[in-house]
Amino acid sequence: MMRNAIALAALLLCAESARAEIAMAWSSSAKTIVVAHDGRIDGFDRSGERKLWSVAGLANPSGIAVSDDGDSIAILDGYEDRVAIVAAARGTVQSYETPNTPVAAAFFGRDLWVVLRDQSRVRRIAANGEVADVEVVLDPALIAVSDLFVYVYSRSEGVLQEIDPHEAKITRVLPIGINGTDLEVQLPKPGGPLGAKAYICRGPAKKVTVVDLVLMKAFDVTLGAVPMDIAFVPWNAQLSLEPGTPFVADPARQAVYASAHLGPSIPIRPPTPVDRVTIAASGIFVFDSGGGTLYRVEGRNCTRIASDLTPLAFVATPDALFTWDAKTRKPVSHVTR
Amino acid sequence: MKIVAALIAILLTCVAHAQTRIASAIEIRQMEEAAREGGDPGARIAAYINLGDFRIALNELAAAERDFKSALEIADQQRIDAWRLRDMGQYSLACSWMGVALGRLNRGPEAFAILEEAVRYAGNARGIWNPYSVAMYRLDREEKGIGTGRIAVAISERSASSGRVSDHVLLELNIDRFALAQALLLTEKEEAENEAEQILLRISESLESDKLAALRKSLSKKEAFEIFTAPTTDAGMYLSLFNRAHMRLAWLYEKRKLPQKAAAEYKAVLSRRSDEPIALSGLARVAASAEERDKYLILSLDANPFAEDVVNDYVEHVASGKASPAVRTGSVGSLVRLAIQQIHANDLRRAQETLKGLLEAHPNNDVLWTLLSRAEVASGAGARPSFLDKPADLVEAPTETDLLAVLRLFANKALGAEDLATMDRMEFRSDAVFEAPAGEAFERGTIHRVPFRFQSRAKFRGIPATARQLRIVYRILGATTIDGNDALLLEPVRAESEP
Repeated sequence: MMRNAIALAALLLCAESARAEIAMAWSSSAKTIVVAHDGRIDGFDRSGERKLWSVAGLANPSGIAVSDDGDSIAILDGYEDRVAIVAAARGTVQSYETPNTPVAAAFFGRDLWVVLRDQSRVRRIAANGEVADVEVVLDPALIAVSDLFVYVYSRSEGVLQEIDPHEAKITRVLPIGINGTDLEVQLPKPGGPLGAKAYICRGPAKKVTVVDLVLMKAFDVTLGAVPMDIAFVPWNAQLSLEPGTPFVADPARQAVYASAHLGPSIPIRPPTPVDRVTIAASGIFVFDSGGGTLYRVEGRNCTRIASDLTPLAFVATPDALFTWDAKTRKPVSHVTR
Repeated sequence: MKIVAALIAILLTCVAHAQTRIASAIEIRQMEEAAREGGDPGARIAAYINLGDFRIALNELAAAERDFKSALEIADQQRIDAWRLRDMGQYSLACSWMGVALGRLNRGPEAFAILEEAVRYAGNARGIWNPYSVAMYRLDREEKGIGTGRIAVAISERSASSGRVSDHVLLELNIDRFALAQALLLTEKEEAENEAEQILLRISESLESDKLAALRKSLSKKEAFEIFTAPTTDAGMYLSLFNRAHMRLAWLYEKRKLPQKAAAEYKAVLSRRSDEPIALSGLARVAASAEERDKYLILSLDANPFAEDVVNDYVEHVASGKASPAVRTGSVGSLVRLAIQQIHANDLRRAQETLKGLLEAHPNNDVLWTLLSRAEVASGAGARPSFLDKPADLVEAPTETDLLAVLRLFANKALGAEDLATMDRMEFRSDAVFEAPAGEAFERGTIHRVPFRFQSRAKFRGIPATARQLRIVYRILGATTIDGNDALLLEPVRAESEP
């Protein structure tokens, strides 16, 4: 699960009372932990101890996205149809109403691209606030960017649409199959052969579809029972794993697949099913959406880090994994490198 | 991953917020048994959703909330179990049911989040988008209802276009179409209403098509009539869909002032179920004569004596002087009509006796309590408004009973110094209906049929004086009279929006 292309958070619910929705992100340029909670957006220093700024936020943060340079953070409220873009260094916020449900977003440079599912549109919100819409196929659900294009996957028809971010026009469309649950774009290894690839987990179809984004050609890799989410070890990560290694979470097999080449391998077995993967310099983390438990993956072992979380209520920074403490209203550090 | 649930969450919305139908004793008994019995959790959840909607039609709101909470608890347990068993189809389905229950409990953001989780796991599965659309419709999120409704229809149409299609698939498609039509109608935009009309006509055509001839024949043999929000059989789906599609068309034609077309749709509903109270009250509204109106109102109140809008229609009908004398036949409907006529005739002691007798059998019924309150207010008796005993800075949507009670207390100068000080501190928020303004300002109107007048005429920034319905925040200053009747004297604080 990468946080520059967001998916909506599901809530852990209890029958009697509502839980506050929380979304957390890390700004690498401002060295700031950003937390959307209780109608506010707060910025904290990298230790989580000192609050740097606080601004009015959104009622129900349902997603969060970070620009590549780390300067801007977008927070979505899918229920109230609102988007807030925060300048992480200064803590200033620009809020936008959207005409319908924002379900996912990604930054291309300084422009935010927001998927508006209920009108089958993608909206570009430029840094100066100008807005342009692109019509896409029914049920746009997932978005990711390469260094050249924006990619939107429409679930109902199972197509990947390539959008020229400058012209705000669709350039190519590739049918790849329905049931997509996650979309990641993997840029080429620095110094390696050119050409980015897209990976679409198609959980219910038991497949991960790999797309060569230069040729716009796809092939399927059959993997597990319900491969839901994929993340890659970053090229520049100082982890003990090979950079570029994909991690795939499969809750139906209670498995995480990790091998240098995408495909069947001896899985890592977390104590409970997991369906989201986050990789940062501070480690590899897998999340159990059904039970709200977060694990750290170390070798072939999974160690429980925290429980009773919602899917966006934690963030991995270069130093540590942070969750939100509702009592002290501060991020809490759990593991350090 | 397959969704192989015994019961996919297929839902029909109620015809409209203001149009509720009462269930027969058989329907309620069936649902209570289904809710109690073990076995398929989906069937129990559906039963609780149906029961909750039945209770709402009966104006038993606390009981309805309990039913929806029961549905939520079962669905949550089913979700946890499915996750533990790694059955992702069931997990998605349970999330879907939770979204429906949360929507009915008015917990919108949570409903949204859990429905997103449902579609994350089964975004291309038949039946998964329908509950999403219905939940958003019920939460007045029409754009979300429309968007998710279109996805539901697209997926179902794909299924229905592939080879030989079962009755079930065809009915599911039409239920998805209905959810979309409902959400379109909620926008109250002409273009959307026209699209909804075409969809509803298409549903009616499909239900009468040769493809469903065998099902129709079996329904005739069984004399089935049950109508549910969450039907669990093909027969239930057909009947519920037939009822609601025709009812919605009737509502649309009524709105467009096409009484003959509306009457034809209401009569179509009655062709399948002769005691359908909403159709009967609809026929009363579009009736060409007072006699006909009287006949249909009586039939409607016999079928559902507690539908607030029909009770109010009957109050107006009695006030017009054209109601036939109420006869105590022993039915609840006849006693409600009698009480209304007794109140109108100022026979208040007997009206209270009639209503208290009814309340013994229906102690949680809000409509009966409101009628009793009217009788008590008129007679000078009655209770204190609840907000005097539980003061708040802002009282949200005070009930008709409470407003009538405070009006009586002010009119009788029965409020003590402490209560008056409490009233001074409190603001209230209500949906008000204004009468035509004098000049460019708002002056008087009703809240829940309780008349009020502003202390002085008011203008609200950004709201034209032609607006008739507004959500207002106000203070209650005392009692006054309008056209010889008691009315609340209010100080407007602000208008927030059109309700």
